[in-house]
Amino acid sequence: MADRTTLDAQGLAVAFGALRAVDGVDLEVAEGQCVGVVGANGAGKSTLLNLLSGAVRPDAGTVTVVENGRSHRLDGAPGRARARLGIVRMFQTARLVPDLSARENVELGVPAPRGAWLEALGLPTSRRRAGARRRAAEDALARVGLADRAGMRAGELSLGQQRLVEMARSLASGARILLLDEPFSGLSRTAREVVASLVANLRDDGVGVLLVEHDLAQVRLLADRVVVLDAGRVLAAGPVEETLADPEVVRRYIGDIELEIGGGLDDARPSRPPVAAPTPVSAPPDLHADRTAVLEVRDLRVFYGAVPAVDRVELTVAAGDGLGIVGPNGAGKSTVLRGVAGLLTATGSVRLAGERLDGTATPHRFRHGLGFVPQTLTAVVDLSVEENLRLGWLAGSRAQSFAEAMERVGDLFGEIADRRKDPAGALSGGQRQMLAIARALVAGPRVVLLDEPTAGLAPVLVAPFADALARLRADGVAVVVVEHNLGLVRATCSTILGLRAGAPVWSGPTERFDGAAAHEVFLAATAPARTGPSLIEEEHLSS
Amino acid sequence: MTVVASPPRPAPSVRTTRHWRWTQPAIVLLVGAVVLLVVRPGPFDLRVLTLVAAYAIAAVGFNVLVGFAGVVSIGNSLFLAAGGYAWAILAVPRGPLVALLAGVVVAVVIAVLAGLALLRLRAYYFAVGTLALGALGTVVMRNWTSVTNGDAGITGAGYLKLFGLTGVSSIFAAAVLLLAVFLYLQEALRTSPLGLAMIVGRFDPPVADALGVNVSRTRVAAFVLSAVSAAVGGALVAQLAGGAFPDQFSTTAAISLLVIPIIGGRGWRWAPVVGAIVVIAAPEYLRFLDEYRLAVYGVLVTLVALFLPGGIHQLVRGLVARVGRRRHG
Repeated sequence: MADRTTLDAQGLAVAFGALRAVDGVDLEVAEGQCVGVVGANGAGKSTLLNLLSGAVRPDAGTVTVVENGRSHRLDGAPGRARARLGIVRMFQTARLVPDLSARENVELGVPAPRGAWLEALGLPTSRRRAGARRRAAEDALARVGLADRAGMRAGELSLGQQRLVEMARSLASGARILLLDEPFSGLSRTAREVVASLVANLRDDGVGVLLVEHDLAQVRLLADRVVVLDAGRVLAAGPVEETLADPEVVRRYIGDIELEIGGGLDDARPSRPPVAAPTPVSAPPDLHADRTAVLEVRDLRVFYGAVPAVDRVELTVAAGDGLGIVGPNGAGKSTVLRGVAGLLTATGSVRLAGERLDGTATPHRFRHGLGFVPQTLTAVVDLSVEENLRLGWLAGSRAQSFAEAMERVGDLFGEIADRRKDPAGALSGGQRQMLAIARALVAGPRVVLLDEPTAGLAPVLVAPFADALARLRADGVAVVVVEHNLGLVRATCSTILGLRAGAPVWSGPTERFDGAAAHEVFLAATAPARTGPSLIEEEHLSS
Repeated sequence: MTVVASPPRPAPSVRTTRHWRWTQPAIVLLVGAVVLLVVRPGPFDLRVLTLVAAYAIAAVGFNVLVGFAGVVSIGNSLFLAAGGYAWAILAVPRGPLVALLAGVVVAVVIAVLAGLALLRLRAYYFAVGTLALGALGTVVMRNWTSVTNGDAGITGAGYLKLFGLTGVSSIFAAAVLLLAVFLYLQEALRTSPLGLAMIVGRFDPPVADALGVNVSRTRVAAFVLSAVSAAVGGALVAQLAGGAFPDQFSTTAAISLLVIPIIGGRGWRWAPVVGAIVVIAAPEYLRFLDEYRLAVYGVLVTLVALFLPGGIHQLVRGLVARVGRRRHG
């Protein structure tokens, strides 16, 4: 123990106003060890990293680094003091200097020897040092597969490449303890494999790694131990498989399930081993073979920059059907909807009632029967409810008159129609969400895509909302809903598609979405898919 | 928004050009020699060119301050004055080396103290603080008569005699030589750990902190470097004017220094030279507009801010890219 490098935190706590973001967390990372930190959004993961890296001062608790048998107390020390002790932090988004070349950005991570400032004078002795620094940077770039990009300005690299450059900067730093904040987010599958093997190599070389990550498949692959955070506290900690099987963890991670509507997961804990064979993804459920599909999406890939955030998603919805898309944070659920709506660059085919919509602009899709309700409540607060609805009607197919459309709204969402003269800003949160759906409805859509409709909705409003969705379906409108509340999904959807890390991992009728399936989707309970030959060669690192 | 049905094309791989540290000083020396030996400009033109070189030297440090470290100072006239007065007072009795070094030392001491005190302030407050510093300098110059001789200034300053040249030609040669040295130092700094640390501290202070960079220390270092180059530039301005006078080192001079790297393109290694040509030479040849000079500055800076946030560098980069594209089809 004495000569091992360890980072040890005891009783760390910090509050922002009334929010106790991190509330008494104990954590230890030793060299050669990878500790995963998981938890829902807002659980305090990034704040914990900020406390450990010195970006935020803790209100209470200690941070100690033991290095070469010497113990350093770092409770209030600035980040740079920790960086010099070998605690290196990688940020969640790539943060490079865009005007510097990739190599120069990596050089920034190379530890400066004593007297490095003399190099600024351009003395002949500086040449050797500059050469050594440059070689270190180029070696690190070669390890992430970007040797040929060394001279390019960082701002000209793709986002995925920028993240890899940042990884190279961490490699070049000679870190003893590496703090990684979601290193896999925004990376293509090949880049993800590169980063995963780099992290594994670093760990095996004796670097201590703290891995904050949503994708539990990667955590299972890399971490020796895992710490589950919930509302700033440690919910559970210990060996990965045991901890992730802990019923309390399962309950928190799979469901924001407090808002169950009759159809919650009664048995969140699998009675049998959580290795149930997932339904083959390539075979969409044939339940409604007799009914014609109104929305058919094939081979959908949605891109952020050059990286497909979502890969090979297929979905089919018949009129009056409900499809729920579920999965952990960052799985690409909302991205699928935006890709279908044409709000993000996408490839693959999108057919609505037989008509091809892929490659067309979003307004065209909306006119041809696609409705989209974004996550944020977007009503124009200064306009009245009716004016807001008229805006939606104008954007739509106008197959029916506005009066007819309003009648339909009156049938489905009576309380909205009753307040048609009131300004939209005067509506409650639940009513505004209904207005958002009604606005999609007056456009005369055949399919409505809903992105996290119950986010920010008071629990008591969820049941009436589920009821409104059921009425919508009964009216013949197909519904595709991305939702965290599994209870709502089970109550309102006939089929479920599970996504993880941008790829479909489960699909089938709602009745078959049991505890095991939820484990598979949310907790990556089966071994992570060891990808064979990559499906996406052409867009990999060097794109 | 239209949607493309194919994955986005990869960006064309543009490689940053490798700079050899000596190219830029060599070009400056060569141009200087050509001007002096071949072009042989008249006395007015030579004066203007010398003033351009002097301000370019002062602006090198300012380019480091604004372009690398991202700190704006409006008080650097004080450092010009330190160099100018030190030269005017000491050059004749003590020799040029002592005079030059004394000016630099005084400027460095002031910059370290002021930097430590002021750089705790956030960006704009620092600028306001340096404005006060420059104003303070003017007050001292005008009123510390036992040293500065007040409004009358100090005359008979003498100049650096080089290569057997006399008069403005010699000052020009000295200015070109010093400019070459400072441009070499600028490029050496840019590629050194200190320069990289300044740049990352400007773009992203939290990342700099996480990389072990003491951001406030690099800012003070940049401020001190700007003081050094301003002191040397000020010494040359005093030589050219034959003495040191409060009016030479007013707030207008400080604003010229600020405008030069911005017009040139902050952080670009040619910015001090290109900016000085625009800011110093152009008004000299627009003397018929005399009292509109400040208006010209104003309009120029506004135009650059509106259309060329990257300064003339942006224009040059655009042209180079266009030529390159044409050459490669």
